[in-house]
Amino acid sequence: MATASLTEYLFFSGLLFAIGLAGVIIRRNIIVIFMCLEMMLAAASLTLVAFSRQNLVNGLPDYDGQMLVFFIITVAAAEVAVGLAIIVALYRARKTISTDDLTTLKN
Amino acid sequence: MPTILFYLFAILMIAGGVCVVVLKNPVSSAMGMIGSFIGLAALLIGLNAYFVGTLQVLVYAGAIMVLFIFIIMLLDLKKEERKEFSNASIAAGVIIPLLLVLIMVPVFSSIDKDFAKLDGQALTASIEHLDDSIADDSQIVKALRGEKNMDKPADSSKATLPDVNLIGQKLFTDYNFPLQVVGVLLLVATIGCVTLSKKLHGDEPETNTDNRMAKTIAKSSIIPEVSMPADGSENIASTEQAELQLDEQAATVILPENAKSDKKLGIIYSSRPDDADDLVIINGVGPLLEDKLNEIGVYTFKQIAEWTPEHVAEFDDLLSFKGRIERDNWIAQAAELQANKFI
Repeated sequence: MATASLTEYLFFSGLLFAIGLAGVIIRRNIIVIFMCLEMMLAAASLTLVAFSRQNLVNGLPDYDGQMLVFFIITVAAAEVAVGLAIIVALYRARKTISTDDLTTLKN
Repeated sequence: MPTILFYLFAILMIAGGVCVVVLKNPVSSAMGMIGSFIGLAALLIGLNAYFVGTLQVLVYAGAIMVLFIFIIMLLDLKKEERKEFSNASIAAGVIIPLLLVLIMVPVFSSIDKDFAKLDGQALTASIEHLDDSIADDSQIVKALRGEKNMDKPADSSKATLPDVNLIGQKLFTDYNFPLQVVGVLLLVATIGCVTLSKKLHGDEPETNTDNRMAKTIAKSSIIPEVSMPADGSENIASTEQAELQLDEQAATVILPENAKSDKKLGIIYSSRPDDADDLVIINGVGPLLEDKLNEIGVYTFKQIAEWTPEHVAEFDDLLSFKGRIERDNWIAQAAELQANKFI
């Protein structure tokens, strides 16, 4: 039974990261930008797990990589909670969440 | 994971990601994101990372995306999604990630490694290298040996990877301190959310009972928007405002037939109105005083509630009260009674 190789996993995670990056650059809705950021974080997690599986330590996967993923997920959850609270506060103050209209720091 | 399943889930992941970027409705973006995360979780499970894959579904596809959808619906964002994207940002958004992918291709084509097999023999062999702190009869060792039940002898071909046990072992020994730090981080994030979600001072709705009462009175009273004092100390200031409003609105006020607006005494009824109140309920007004007030033409709480300091002084003289009206705070009492009449 053939299995996918490390290269394929890395390539797809890189592709997901690139899509997330494209979303952050193109989109103007701050919530969608935030979702794309989460997607980039998740893509990085996939890379970490792929390397953890590749790099066997004494015959078992290298769990240090998966520990990092565990902490990334935890920090991402906290980040989303605070970030969405900021977006709600922003919407309450400005009645918009489009980055085109949020130009206080410009000029 | 067989290659065909790998491609199925990889394509699900990438298609979900493309949906997030391309679809204009934020709810559709969020749904695409959920699909993307489920594909990603399947890939993680294909990499023997069962625990992380489960976490991915629970935390990302479950909790975080529900939070996103919740906020999208809370803010009601649909109507804002009609703007076209500018050409410059689309060009930048395509070229930069494309460059990233182009850089990746030669790097990844130089390493073409297959994963080492994690079969029963390899797992059983790894027992020798386990940390000394892991006991011989622990779940980890049993799973690696392939011991499913006590009665059957260990069969190394049935050995499984005790993923969760190994992660737990690692987390609570080597990574104990970071775990505590992350706990503090979550606490700080919780407090931060509560602080951010608190309404700003400026746009706080007026929730105190006095204002609500004043509104009720304004609705039910002949004269709209008379601010009601909450206690004796505020009497003078707010009744002055009320007086100003009274003067302004006196011309437009519609009075009942048997009532007239007296400059000195406020609104006075010439005969007993149908909606006369039992004035004895006011603290400080006895049956005798009620009779006297009725004689002058004061029958309702509303009349008393709308008295200005001048009116109060006039009634003080008329009934020889010696400041009793202010002392017992008739105006506030009457205002409250008037408000409660309509509840």
